[in-house]
Amino acid sequence: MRDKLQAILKSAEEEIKIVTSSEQLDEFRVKYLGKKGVLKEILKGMGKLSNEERPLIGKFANETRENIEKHIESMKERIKSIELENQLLKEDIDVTLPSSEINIGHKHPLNVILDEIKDIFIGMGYKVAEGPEVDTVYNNFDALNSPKDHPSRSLSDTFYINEELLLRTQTSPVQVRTMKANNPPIKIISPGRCFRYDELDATHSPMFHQIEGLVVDEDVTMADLKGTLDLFAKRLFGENTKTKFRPHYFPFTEPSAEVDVSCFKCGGEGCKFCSNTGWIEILGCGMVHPNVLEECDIDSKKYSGFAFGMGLDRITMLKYEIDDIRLLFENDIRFIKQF
Amino acid sequence: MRVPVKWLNEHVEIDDINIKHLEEKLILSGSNTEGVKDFSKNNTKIVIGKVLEQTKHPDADKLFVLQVDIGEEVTQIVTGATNVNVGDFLPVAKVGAHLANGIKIKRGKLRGEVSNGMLCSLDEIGFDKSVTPKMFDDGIYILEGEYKVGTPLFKAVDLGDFVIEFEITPNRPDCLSIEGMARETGATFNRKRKQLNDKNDFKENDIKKYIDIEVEDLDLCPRYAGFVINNVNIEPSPQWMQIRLMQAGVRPINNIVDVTNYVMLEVGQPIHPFDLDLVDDKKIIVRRALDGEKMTTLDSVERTLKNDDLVIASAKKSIGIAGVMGGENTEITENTKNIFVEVANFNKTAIRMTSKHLGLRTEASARFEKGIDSDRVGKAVNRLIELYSEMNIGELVDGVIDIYPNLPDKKNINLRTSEIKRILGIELSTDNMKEMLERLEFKVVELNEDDLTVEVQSFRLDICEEIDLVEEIARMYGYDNIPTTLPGGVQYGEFNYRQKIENKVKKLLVAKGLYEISTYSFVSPTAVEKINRSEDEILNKFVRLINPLGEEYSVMRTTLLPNMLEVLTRNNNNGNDKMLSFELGNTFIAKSIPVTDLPIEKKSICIGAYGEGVDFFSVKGIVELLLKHLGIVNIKFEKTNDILTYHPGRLTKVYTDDILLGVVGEIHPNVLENYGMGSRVVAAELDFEKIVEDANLTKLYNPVPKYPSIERDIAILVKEEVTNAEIIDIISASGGNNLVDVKLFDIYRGAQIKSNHKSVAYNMIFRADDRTLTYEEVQKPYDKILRNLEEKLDAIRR
Repeated sequence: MRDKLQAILKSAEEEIKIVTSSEQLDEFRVKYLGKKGVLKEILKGMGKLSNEERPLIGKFANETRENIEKHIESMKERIKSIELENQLLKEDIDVTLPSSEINIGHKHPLNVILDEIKDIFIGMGYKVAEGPEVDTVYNNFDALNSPKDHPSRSLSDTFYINEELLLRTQTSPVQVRTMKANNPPIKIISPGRCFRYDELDATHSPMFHQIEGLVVDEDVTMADLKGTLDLFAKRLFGENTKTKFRPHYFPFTEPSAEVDVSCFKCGGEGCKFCSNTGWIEILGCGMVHPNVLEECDIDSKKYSGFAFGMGLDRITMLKYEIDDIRLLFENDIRFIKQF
Repeated sequence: MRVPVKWLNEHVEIDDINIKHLEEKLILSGSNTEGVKDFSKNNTKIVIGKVLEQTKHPDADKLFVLQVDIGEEVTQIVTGATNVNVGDFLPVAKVGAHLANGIKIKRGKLRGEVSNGMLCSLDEIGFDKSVTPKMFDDGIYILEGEYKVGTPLFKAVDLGDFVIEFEITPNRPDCLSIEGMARETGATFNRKRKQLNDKNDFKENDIKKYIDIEVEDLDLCPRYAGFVINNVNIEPSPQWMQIRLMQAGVRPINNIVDVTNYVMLEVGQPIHPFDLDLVDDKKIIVRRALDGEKMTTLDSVERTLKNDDLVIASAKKSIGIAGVMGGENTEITENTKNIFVEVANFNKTAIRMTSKHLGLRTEASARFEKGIDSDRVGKAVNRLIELYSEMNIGELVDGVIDIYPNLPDKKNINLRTSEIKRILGIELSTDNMKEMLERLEFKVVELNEDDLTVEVQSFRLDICEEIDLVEEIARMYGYDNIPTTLPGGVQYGEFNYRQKIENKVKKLLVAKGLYEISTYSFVSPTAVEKINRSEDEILNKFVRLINPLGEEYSVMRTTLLPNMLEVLTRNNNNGNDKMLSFELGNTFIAKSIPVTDLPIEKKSICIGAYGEGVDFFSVKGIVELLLKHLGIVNIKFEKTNDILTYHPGRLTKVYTDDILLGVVGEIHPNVLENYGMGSRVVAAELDFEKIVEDANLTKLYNPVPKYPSIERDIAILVKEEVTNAEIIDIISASGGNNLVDVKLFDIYRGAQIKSNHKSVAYNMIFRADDRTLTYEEVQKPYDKILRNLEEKLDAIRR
């Protein structure tokens, strides 16, 4: 019987070598270890064995079974890896075929830059103030110390609804509204649409966007204004950006300045974007005129403040090298897609 | 303001300063420039030549052949110019020279005769035709005097001087003069300026015999001065003066007029000469015009005046509009013998009003409008007399008339070191401040430890209070030198609630593939008609501009939709086959017509889409997702057909509970046709303000279900007109507490289905939070749902 068992093991070891699939392996298992398998058949003869032989043969038979099972197990592993290999081979694809179309929309470029600027100022402790596009002559001009006969008030510069109402020419009326409604400290930016009587061409649009800023508190100085705008310029245009403050005149601030930033295209070497000067004019600013503070019910002896303003359209066009302002308002999808 | 540097140098010595440095420092001290014009650039090949011979061209009637000495050689030049004579010194562009108009001179032949170079006119040298003397209009520029031939033109005469163009801000009219710029330059470089003669105590002496002057309206004419020159000799002014005038942008006319312009540019005081013999009775009256009074100005236009206009009149009629333009009836001509030169100060508001209503803006009116101090009259008179005498123009009558009864008050302003510290953030001693202010020619009349008092010179009309002096200190100290600090105090930055909602809206729409557009706030009033809404009362409450750029930009938009449709149409026409887009912008509804108050201005969201994959449900889906994303609950869609912009069968109103948030619908084919839009468009309009009110950004954790759910499907046959909403309402109402979700998953219409019917299938999910549901617990509500559907909708189970 021992010989028979040995023969079975031997033949099993031979036979398993030709097994190549899980199906064949199953057949193999049934053939050797199944209820009607060869091993079971042989063990039926156990009853005829002597009492001494029986445990020995029994042990041997178990060993034989375990042996065969081991072979089956290891074969199973091999077949699994072969089959996986085959599957992977079959599933080979041309990875250069086009991707599935996954779409995301795009913000308007003006708002991409505006969001960047808002983030910078929010990070510096500013809140965002908003106001209406149609506002009063008082908020837009009178309260801002603008002389009654200032040319900017004329019908050829400003759009009017009637004698008291107009389309704001700047977002400064939001500053007036904010100062009238709040006590210092005030620290806001006011972005928004503005309107000036300009025919639409490559560099002018009757509607454009401004971002203004206002800080009013005790002891706010021109040094603070310089520091603020210098930091802002570095954040928006890059760490190496330099700023230059040139004296200028605005009715609502004194002292007033225009601010140039070192050209962020050429780094100040001179290029077409800075007309070879190395500098790009970007901001107007100054210390809020005491008349404006007083007009907004803020004690100009106790409080001081600074204000600044910049053109969003201009900054957007410079940053993206857009050479025609009309593109911003035509809204062609092939244009917006790029931002 | 164009300033020739050599002219400036006469007033303050700066010729040792490099032009670039000069410009930069002036910019930083407050005199911004628009650049420096360098006439001599690349022009070394234009030299002075002398005409030695002039003969007629053998083969051309209108040409001359000249032999011109240009130093290194005598060269032959053929010219058509007729104002050239033998012995003339003139500019010769040698072979290789580049002219201002872009022409490069080459060796050549003209009708067979060799021509090596070209004689130049003033515009070829670089002057605009509008500033060159009429006598040289069609000819060569002939130089005055004698020169060494062959010298580069721009070295020999001041034609090549640098001219700085300053941008003068409206608060500094005093800088609209060479003297003013010399003052700024002196202050910037800390150099003393040559003071003009400002002797102001004029004696009348003999002049009374020649003219009588009366100022009726002193309120509009605080000072009126003038003098007389007899037997004038009218001729071109000297070359140096002509060149400076041209450089400054003024056309030379004749010696009388040129001197008045020269002094105006130098001192900043407008001046007007009259032909004295044409002044009736030798009497000048400064008075308000009669209403409807007519007068013809120097430009030959007849003007109708009003009582607010100030005129200069003779005994019989007006002979000039004060501060604006003289009259043709007293114009200086070649025949003029005796002249009266007026130097006066007029009220700026009056001049502005007159100039405005006449539509006549002149150099003089522009200067008066901006403001001129009356002390300047004296300086101008002195300078005029000096130049007229030097130029020997005629017999100067001894004496000056000067009607100046009310001298202006002196202004004293106190300036504290503490204010400098508070506003500028720098600490200065009063000695420091005094030094800076004196550079600007302020008179410091009192000096203390912590403050000083300044007497403001009359020409600084812009200095009225302490802050004005703070600014003067700032620019003299140099903005560059002010330190950079950041404001103190603890302030936090954040978006407010409304802005957070706005950011979320944009973020979500972009994430879902929509493109943000930005369109004008003003539109054409026909926009509302174009979307079939002429009957809509609200949309026609236009805020109208009184001075629009054109009809198409004449009213503020009452809806965002027309702009959206325009953008979609444009994109479709441009060949973009699909577009999903949105705009978040303001609409404007007038509270009353005509508009008296600020309009109702509120934000609105407009979504518009066309192209493959776009249908009513895709846009509805975006809207629903957006509202859910903002925490808006109980969203309901209610079919409607009463908005004419939309397809009557494909339009829904969107509610949360009973609050209308907006609409979603397909655009009506008629509207598409109005726009010439070739694709179907689906749009949504949402009220952003309502969305902000109903949004809820608060999030609360809901336990993840612990017990399994049981799903059941139900398929029923219903009449075609039964809506999904009706079925869902019945299922939801009948499903009991454990019904957590119900969804339509199939609609079928086909051969096996009765006509006018459809088969609909719903998937329902039952679940309890505290146990696994039993079969009965699901079957009972299921049966009830079915019963109710059968009863209420005549549904038949399939």
